[in-house]
Amino acid sequence: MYSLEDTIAAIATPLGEGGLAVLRVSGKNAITSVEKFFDGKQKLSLAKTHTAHFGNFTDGKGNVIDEVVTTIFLSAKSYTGENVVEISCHGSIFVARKILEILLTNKIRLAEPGEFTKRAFLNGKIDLPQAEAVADLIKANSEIAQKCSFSQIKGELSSQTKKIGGKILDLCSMLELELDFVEEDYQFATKEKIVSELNFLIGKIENLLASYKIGRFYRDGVNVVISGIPNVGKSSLLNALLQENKAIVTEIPGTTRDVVEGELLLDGILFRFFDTAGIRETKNIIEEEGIRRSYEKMAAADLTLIVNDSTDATNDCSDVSKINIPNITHQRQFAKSAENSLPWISCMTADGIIRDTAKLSDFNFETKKQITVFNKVDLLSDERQNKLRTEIEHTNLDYVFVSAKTHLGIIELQKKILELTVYENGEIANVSVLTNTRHKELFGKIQECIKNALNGVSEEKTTELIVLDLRSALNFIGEITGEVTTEEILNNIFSKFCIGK
Amino acid sequence: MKQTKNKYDIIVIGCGHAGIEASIASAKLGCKTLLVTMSKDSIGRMSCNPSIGGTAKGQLAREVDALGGVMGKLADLSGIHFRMLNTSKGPAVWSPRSQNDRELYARKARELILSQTNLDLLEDSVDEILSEYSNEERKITGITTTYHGQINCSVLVICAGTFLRSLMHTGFSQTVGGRFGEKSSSGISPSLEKLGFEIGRLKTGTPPRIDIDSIDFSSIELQPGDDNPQPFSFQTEKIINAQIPMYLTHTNEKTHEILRKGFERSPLFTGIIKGKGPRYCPSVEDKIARFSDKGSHHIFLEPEGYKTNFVYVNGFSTSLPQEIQLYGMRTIAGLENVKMLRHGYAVEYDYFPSYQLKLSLETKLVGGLFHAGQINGTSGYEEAAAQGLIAGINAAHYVHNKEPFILKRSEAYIGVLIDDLVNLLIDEPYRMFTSRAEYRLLLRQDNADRRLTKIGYNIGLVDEVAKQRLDKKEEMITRLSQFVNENTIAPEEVNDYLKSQNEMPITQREPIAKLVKRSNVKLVDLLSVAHFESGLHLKGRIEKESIEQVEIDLKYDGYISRQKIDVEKFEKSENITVPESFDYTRVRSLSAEGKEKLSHIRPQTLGQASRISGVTPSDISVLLVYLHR
Repeated sequence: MYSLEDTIAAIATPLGEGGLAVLRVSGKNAITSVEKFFDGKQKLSLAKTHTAHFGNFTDGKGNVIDEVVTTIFLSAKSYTGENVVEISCHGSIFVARKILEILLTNKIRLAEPGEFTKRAFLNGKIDLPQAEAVADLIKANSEIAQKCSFSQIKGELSSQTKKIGGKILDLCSMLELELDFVEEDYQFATKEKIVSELNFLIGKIENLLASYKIGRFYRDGVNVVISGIPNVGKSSLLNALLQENKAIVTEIPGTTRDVVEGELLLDGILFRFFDTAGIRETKNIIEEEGIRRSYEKMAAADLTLIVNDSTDATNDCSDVSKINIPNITHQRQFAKSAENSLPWISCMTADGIIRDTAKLSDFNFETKKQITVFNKVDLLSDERQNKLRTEIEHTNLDYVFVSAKTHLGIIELQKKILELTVYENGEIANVSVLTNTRHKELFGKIQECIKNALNGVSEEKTTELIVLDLRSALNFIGEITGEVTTEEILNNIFSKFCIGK
Repeated sequence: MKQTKNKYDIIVIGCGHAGIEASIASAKLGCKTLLVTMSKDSIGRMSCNPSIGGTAKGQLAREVDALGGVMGKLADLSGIHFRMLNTSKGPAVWSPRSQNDRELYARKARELILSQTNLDLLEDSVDEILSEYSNEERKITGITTTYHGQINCSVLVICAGTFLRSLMHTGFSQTVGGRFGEKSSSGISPSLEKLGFEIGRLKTGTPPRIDIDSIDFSSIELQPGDDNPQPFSFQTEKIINAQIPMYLTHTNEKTHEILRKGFERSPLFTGIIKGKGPRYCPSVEDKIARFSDKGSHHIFLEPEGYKTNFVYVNGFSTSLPQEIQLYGMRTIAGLENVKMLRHGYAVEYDYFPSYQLKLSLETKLVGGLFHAGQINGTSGYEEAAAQGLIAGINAAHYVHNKEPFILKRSEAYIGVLIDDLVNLLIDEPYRMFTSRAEYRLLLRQDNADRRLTKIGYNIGLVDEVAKQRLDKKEEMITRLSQFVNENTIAPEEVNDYLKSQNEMPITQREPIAKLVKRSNVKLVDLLSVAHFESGLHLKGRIEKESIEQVEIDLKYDGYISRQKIDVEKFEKSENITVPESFDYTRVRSLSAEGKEKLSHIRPQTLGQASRISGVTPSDISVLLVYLHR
C-alpha cells in the first residue's frame, strides 16, 4: 500500500546548466531534515510559511556545498499539502546532485515521477482534472498553453463539466419520475421539453469539443505547410515568415528536396512552418521522394499555404482558370473547383498523383484549411495586380498578396493564419477549453450518449432506454470530474509526470 | 399448537411481512424456530394499503417468490384486483400490483405459519433481549417475555415493524400503539439501546377507511383490473379469485380549504410529530401544503375485500383531527355522504439506522442478532418481506456455520435494497424505486425466476417442483431461441400480419429473430405464422413466459448487452477487497467524514465503499491509490 509517511525529495529543474537549480522536499520531516544541513540566520523549523532564507548548505560535517536560498511552505498552504522546502542552489548539475545525495542519506527517499502532484491530490489539494492540468502545464510550450492549463488547474473545466452533468442529471430525474410514479398525478416532462434540453446539451458539448482543436493548438502548436509548384518562392516565404534564412533559396526550380521546418510564436501561440518540395512531375527519384513527403505533410497539416507565382506567364489574368495551375494538371478543373474553394488540391486529385499514394488515398483534402498566397507581387504592375485581385475576389478563396523578398504582405499573411486557426471573432478564443485528450475522448462519448438519447426520443423508444443512455453519459462525466475513478485513470494521469513534479 | 420450549435455534419477533418470511425460511432450512407476536390475530396483517406490488415493489415481490419466499403466493391467493403497471414502457419497468382481500391475506398467512414444521408460535411480549460477551464478541443468548419468562436461542431476528415505542397521532390526541387497536412494544428499544445501538424516530401514516355503502358510485371513475391477471408467484398457474374494480376520484379546492383549517391542529405541522415521514408517500395535508398551486389530487377508493364494507381511501393519508378528515372527504365527488368507519392517523416509531447492519442483515454490534423490515427504516410490505427472507436465510446460515448469503446489486432488487440500507444514511422511510437499480434492464420481474430460483434451490428454500418448472422453462427458451435464429419466414406468410401491425412488408425471406426486433411485431404471432411445430401449447403459462423471455432478449438485445458490460465493470470494483483490519484513521488524506463513515461501516470492497454516503469520490481515489501499491 502507498505510504504518505515518507518524506520525499527530487531535483525540480531540468538537469542541465542553468542559473539556478531547485530541489523540492516534501513530507512530515521535510523542514527538520533540511535544517540539519542548513546554516543560516533563521532556524528553519521556526520559520513562517512562504518565507525565503539565505544560508549555506553543508554536508552536516561542516563542509559547505553551496550558498542556497530555502523557501518554506507549511503543510496547510503548500502545494502538496505537506511541509515543503524548496532549495535553490547554483545551477550546476554537480551541486544539485550533491545536495540531493546528502538529503537522501537522511531518511528522505527519492520522489517518484509525479509524486509531488500525487500527494497534492491525495491530500485533497487538487482534484483529478487539476492534476492532469499540472501535467499539461509542465509541458506547456507557449504562453497560451500555459494559460489554458492554468485555468484548468483553477478548476474551470471541472465546473463546466459539473454544469453539464447537472443538466443531464435533472433530465434523468425528470424521466425517472415518469417510471417510478406512474400512478401519481405528477406533471411529467413533455417530449418537446426533453428534445429541447437534449439539443441544448448537444450544442454545449459541441462547443467544448470544438474548443479541443484550439486547445490542442494552444498546447501542441499549429502545423502550417507551405506548398506549391516549384520555384514560386516557398522557401523564401518561409524565411520571410521566420525572419531568418532557414531554407536554401536559389533560382533553380526544385531546390528544396526535403521538408524544412521552422517555428514562430504568433500572439503567444506556437506555429510550426514546413517548407516542402515543389510539386511537379519528375523523373528524379530524390525529388519524387521529396514530393511524396510534401503530400504527407499536407495531409497532417492544420493549415496549408498554397503559394503561387503571381508573375507566372501562365497566369493570364484575362483567364482566371489559368492562374497558378501547375502544368501537369488539367486546367479546366479550376473553374469547377473554384466553387469548392480548393482549386489546386482538387486538380491534383484529378491528376491521379494523390490516388497513387496509398497513404493519402483516403485523405480528404477538402476539409483542410488553406490560404492561397500570391507571391512576388513586388514584380507586378498595379494594373495587373488589381486585375488579379478582381478575378480572385470572385472565388471564395482565402488569399493574400505578398512579396517574400520585400516582406510586403507578410503581416497580413500572419493575421490570416491566426484567423483561420486560433481566432474567434478577431481575437484568441476563450482559454477555458478542452486541451486534454482523455477529456476530449470522454466528451465525445458523452455526446454520443446524448445523441443516442435524442434519437431514442424521436424514435419513440421507451423512457427507461433513454435513461440508460443518459446514465451512461453521467458515468463518463464522473470519469472527467473524478467521481468515477478507476485504477487505469489514475495510473494514466500520474504516469505523465517526470520526477520532481 | 405445539408446546413452547425454552430453547430454540432461532427466535423471530414480529409476524408482519418480514417476520413471516424470516420464520418460514429459517424453519424450512431446518432450524427450530419460534415466532413471537403480541397478537396472533395480527399475523400477515396489512397495516395500510391492502395491496402488494407496484413500481419496483412488484419486482421485489417476484424476487421473494423466486427465491422461495411466500409473499407472492399469499398475494395470489388473496388478490381481488390485479394490474401490470407501466406496460406502456419497456419490460424493465413493468411492475405487477394487486389489491388484496385484507382478511383473506392474513388468514392464508396464518395457515402457512401454523402448518410449517419446525416453527412454533407464541403470543407474548418481549421484555428484554439477552446477550453475553465472550471471546471479544457479544452474542445473542435469548429473550425474556412477559408471560413465558426466559427463552434461549442462538439467533434472534427482530421484525418489530412500527411497534417499538409507537405512538399514534390524530389531531392532538395520541394513543400508544403501533396499529389501530393494538399495543406498542416498550421492552425491545431500551434493551437494544443498552447494547449500544443508535436509535432514530420515523413516522408513517394511513388514511381513513370508509363504508362502501355510503359511496355514490355514479359520479366517480371505475378502474378495472387487467383482463388477464398476472400472478406474482411463478408457481401460481392462474388467478382464480373473482376480480373487482377500484375507483378514482379527486380532491378539490373546497377539500383543501377545509383541510387547511385543520392545519393548526395538525401534529405534523405543529411539531408534535418529530419522526421524519416518507417524502414519496406524503400525507394529504403535506401534499396541499407543499404543492399549494395544485387544485386537485388523485384519490383511489380501494375496497378492502369481498366481504367487508371497509374501503381504503388511497391518497388521503392524514393525521388531521377526525372531524376535519370527515368534512374534508365529504367535499370529494362520490363521498358527499360518506360514512367514516375508521379515521386516519400517523404513527411514530423507533428504528435502528441500518448502517449498523452487515450485508447479511446481522447487526455489527451483536453476533446472531438480525434486524429486518421497518425496524431498519424501510417502508412497504415488499421491502420488509425481502429483508425478512434474507434475514431468515442468514439466521439459518449462522446456526449452521455457513457463509452469509448476499445478493449483489447486479443480481436482484433485494441486493440493491440491502446494499443501500447498509451504505446510505437513511433518515426517512426507504422505499424501493426502479431508478435505484442501476441494472434494471437485467433485473426484471419477468426473469426473477431465471435470476434467483436456482440460487433459492441451492440454499434449500425452493422445492423440487419449482426447480423443475424452471428447468423446463429454460429448456423451452433454448429451443425457442434456436428456432427463431435458425428459421426464416417468407413474405407471403407474414406480410398480411406486418401490414396489420403498421410495419413495412418484407420482400424476401427474413430470419424470425430479425423480424421480432421490430417494435410492433410480437413473437407469439410470428410463431403461429411460422408453424412452430413442437407439440407445445403456446397458451400455457410456461410457454408464454418462455416466448416473452426470447422476445425481450431479442428486442432489447443492444441495451441488454450494454448493461451486461456495465455489470462487468461494476463487479471489477466489487472485487477489490478492503482488508477487514484497514485502519482508516491513519490515512491522513481521507476526508474527516469519509474516515468516520468508513471506520463505522467497514466496507468489504472498494465498490461498497464508493456507495457509502459521506464518502467522497476523492476518498475513493485515495483508497484506490493506497490499496494498489
